[in-house]
Amino acid sequence: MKSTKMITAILACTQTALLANGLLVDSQNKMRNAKQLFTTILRNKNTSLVDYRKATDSIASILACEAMDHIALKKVTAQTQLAPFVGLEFDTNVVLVPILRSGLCLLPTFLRYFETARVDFVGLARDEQTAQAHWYYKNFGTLTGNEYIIILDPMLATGGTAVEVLRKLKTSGANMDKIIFVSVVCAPDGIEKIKTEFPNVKIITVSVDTHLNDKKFIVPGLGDFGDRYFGTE
Amino acid sequence: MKTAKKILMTQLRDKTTSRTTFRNTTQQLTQVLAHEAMEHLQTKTKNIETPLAQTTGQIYTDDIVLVPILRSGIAMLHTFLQYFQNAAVGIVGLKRDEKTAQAHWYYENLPPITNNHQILILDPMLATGGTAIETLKKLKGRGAQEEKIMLVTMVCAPEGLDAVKKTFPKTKIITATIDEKLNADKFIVPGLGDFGDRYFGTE
Repeated sequence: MKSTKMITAILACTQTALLANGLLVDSQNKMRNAKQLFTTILRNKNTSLVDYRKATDSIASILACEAMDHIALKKVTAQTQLAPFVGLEFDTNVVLVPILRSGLCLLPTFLRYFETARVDFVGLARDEQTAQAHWYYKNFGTLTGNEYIIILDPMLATGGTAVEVLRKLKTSGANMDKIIFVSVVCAPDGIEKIKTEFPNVKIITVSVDTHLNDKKFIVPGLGDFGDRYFGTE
Repeated sequence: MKTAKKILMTQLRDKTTSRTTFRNTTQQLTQVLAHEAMEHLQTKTKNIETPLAQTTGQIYTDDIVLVPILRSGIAMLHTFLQYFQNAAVGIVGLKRDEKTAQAHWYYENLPPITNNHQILILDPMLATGGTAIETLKKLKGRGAQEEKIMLVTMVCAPEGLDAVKKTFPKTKIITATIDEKLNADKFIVPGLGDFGDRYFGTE
């Protein structure tokens, strides 16, 4: 019990420190209870496969709603049964970019919130020693610079993969002011890496954890997101 | 479920169908296919207690593994996970050179597989059958039993069906429709176009 309390305290401190350094993630401090309840399920190594998947869907809903706050909307006029009203709709197209494999876990829920979004897949393996990225999969549509791009990747660890994907998007014509990076758990290293090279990219997350261990796993983290969701461990 | 299949397939085939409708219809047709797949799975008796009395029910005999083939198979995964909640998921991606018949596996992440696993391969389009056969070979090589692998598709070409049945006669194939033929570009005719492009909006 004591160690759990300590971890919570450390997490709170890290988040405050990140905010103080201006290294903040762009998640607002909203829906804190929901976020903490569902991450508790994800972090617990005794959580069953079924419960892990359900908690992922719930977290994805929260993240999808948060991502929406960073997307430009335009006014539309329509009629209720009684009178005209002014409502809102997305101003431009949205493209979802899940990073294989674990980005797929967030995709079904995001497609419910962004029903008309195009989906571009990317898959890459990165050699941490040589920093060379091997793109084993890439299926991009055309980018005009007008669309909002939402990158889905539950774990932001070193930021190596994220930065490779962001560079590729930039050279493919993306507007870097319109990119939202969605993760569930982040390490400070990953946030710093993204924000240093791409300060305008928004980072939405549920938790900023304390650090990476020597195997580059997020601590306390939740293990390997894909292995736990897909049951491949 | 013949009528459901025909009505849903009509929406998927129609090239004027919007992206949103295409996605919703895919989810509905996938539910139909999941129901049908269930009918072919082996079950065993389990004793349970209701709040009132003891009774017997049915559970699946084998652990289930879902194997979506990238990219289109991903469109069916979430719905199948609702029906097979405890299933492990193995993801594979491969490109096949039709001339040399060589398969290039660009992605492969399978859970441990034994001959006691029931495997459901998810791939909306069965055209030449090349990809399906390579995937079946891979799964068999990992220890799966041919008769415990099921191939779940939406649209089949007769050529693909024949090819799979010839190589793996014991593998069951679930589909919504068997179309006329493949055209010169190996697309299913009348078919529905490129499933992945229409579902993910990349056309």
